[in-house]
Amino acid sequence: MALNPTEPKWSLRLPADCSIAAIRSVYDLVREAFGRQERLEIDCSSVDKADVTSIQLLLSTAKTGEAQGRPVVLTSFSQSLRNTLRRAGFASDSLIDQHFPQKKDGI
Amino acid sequence: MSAMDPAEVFRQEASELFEVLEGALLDLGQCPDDRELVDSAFRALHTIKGSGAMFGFDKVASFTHEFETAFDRVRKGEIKPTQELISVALAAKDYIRALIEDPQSTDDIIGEAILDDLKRFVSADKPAAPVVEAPLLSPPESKQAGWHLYLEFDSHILRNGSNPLDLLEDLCKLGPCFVVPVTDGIPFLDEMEPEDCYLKWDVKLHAACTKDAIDDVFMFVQDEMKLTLSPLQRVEALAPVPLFQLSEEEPVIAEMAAPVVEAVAEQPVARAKPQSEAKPETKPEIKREAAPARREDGKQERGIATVRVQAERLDELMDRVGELVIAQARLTQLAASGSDLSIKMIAEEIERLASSLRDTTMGARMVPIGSLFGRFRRLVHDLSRDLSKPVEFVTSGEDTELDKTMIECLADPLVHLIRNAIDHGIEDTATRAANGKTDQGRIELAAVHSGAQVLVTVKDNGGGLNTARIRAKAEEQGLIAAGAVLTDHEIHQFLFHPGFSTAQTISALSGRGVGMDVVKRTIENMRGSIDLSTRPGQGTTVTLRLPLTLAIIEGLLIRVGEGRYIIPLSAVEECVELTAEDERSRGRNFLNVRGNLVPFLRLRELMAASGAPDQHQKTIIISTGETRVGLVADQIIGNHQTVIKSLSKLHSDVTIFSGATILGDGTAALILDVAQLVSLAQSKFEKQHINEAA
Repeated sequence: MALNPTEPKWSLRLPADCSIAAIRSVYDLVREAFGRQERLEIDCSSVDKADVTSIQLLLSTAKTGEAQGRPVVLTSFSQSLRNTLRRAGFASDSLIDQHFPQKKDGI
Repeated sequence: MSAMDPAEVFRQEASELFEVLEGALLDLGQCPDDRELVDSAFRALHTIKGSGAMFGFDKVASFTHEFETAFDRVRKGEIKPTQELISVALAAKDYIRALIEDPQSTDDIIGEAILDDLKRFVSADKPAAPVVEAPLLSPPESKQAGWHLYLEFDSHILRNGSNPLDLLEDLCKLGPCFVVPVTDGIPFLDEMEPEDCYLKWDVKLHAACTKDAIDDVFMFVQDEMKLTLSPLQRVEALAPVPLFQLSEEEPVIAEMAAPVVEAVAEQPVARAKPQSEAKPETKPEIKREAAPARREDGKQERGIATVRVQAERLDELMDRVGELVIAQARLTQLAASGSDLSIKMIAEEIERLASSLRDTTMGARMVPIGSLFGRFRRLVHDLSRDLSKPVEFVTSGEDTELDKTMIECLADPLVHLIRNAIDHGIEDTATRAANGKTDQGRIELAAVHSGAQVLVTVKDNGGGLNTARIRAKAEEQGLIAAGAVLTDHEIHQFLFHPGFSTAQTISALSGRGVGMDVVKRTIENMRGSIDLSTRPGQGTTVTLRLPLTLAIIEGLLIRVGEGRYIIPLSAVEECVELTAEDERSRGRNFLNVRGNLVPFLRLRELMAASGAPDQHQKTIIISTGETRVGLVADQIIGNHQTVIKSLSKLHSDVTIFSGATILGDGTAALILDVAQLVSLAQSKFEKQHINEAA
């Protein structure tokens, strides 16, 4: 996981393990990144382990960004994350668009 | 205060779950129809699986999953848990335990062999046609087209290792499902606890399965969720599209809005907040709150009733309390020697507080002995199978509490005693039948409080001790002269002699003569004693008498010459003055206590005390089990809270002392080992008896 300050927008790449075992540290990282930047991009391409907690964190991030007028862009959902989203019932583009309106390189 | 390693937390939790699992499996062997036991075993398995996966024990999760799957037919009531099946299930449990505690010692081949055995047993009597499942999943005949479910899990459910996504997947196995996540409970980042569960689900299940089938899916989490069910009624024969079959080709969720089905008996979902979508419009026919009041209360109780504390911290706390008690004794002594009334009052207050703190701390270290008893059920089960001796194992007094150190020390002696009882005590089936006994032998393990002691008894209904054979063996080993006059009780004591065994064959279990002496030594090291009683043809009872704690005891402080000694108060029966008549019996050393002759030891002689004895010598009558002995001292000083300090290696050979303590004036007092003194008095008395006879 890394914050890349050289880019115009700050991007945060989520670590491979975003399951409950590691979600606390991922949460801290997202909060830290969220607090610093006007615009945050979260790269989900490396996520290898995901579960309900990962989905909830992404949902909360999107909701918080939306509420504060600082949209968070989610990019490159990994296969593992996509599978977990499907298992949780986020099984269509429309549903995902509804919850993650700022996603890119989608699902 | 360092945080515990999460993996270590899992190991500890798993250890408790293994006890539950083992207990349930063993009980199932006795009561194969008890559904609660099957459910209990499955709950334990399920939690081990979930937590294992959560903490990265992937092999554990995978093996447990296979175990669960293989055992599923038992859960469904399709097959009965036979003894063979229980044995394999126990082996599977042992394998999981090894995977967690010592993965290096395991081998995949062993795990696969166990699973193969398990599958072989559960498929041995597979019914020709599935009876239970088929009707459930057959196309609905009635007007009911399925179920509308609303799932709301307790916030902590993810921390327990449960995974709602697995449950949704299981639900989808019952038939085509439309799963819609309800996200209105998702908080803002700042308000979020990342390990809590906020998602809820609204599910339409298009299968005419029974409510029981749905209950089965959620059986392990039913106390940690709200499940609202209402039936769906078909209005058109449009085949719904199952969500999970469409992982490649995405389902069109917009169709959800179309009335594929319509709900009946509508009512708002209990406790559900307004939803952004897929609001349950129906009045649930079945509403399960999982006994909310009890659960809520229970949850709260759990929260405040149990705190996991590392054992070392309790030891440390006990040490500190010990030091406090010693310091308090010094203060009391100082206050008593002065005339300042306010200091005396403070000293008394501190004495009261220290005593209360001591009791509270000792209470925190107390553990129900049932935690130990549970282990022996497996031992009896395995021995019974290996020796082909059917044995019923009965326990009582599991709630009796003992200091945790005592519990740890007690495990090995009890293993020896139970092994002996089954191997030597319980006869084989043929012999029992010939003696008019039932085929099944019986071992009773009981614990009960008796004053400041706990009595633990191991009782069997076997053949009893063969006194003649023990005597013959003792004579053969030169422990007694041929023809010496001994009581049965005295002859039985040879069983505790190192290397003594009457077994005619040496087995893997017993017969080498190593064991009973170790048992006796261990129990005596715990300042306890051991009694044997037997009735020919009816069985043997071994009674262990143990103090409640090894850390601080109530003692009786006495003076012998210039030295001061402590006698554990739990062993003291009474104190009497040594009369002139008793004094005149010098050489015989017997005391007449209300018509009973009690042998006594003169501690002045034993301790080689210098100076003249006090004019009025006192005798303290102590007892271990059935035996009473008097100890003659110069002065009885009084009660003393005794913080036990172990003796140095240099003094470890002096067997009549079990430790030392520090008195209020800073000097040390030795603690007398009651069992050793009684034994010393007995042997002295026996020699005297033999000399007189000669």
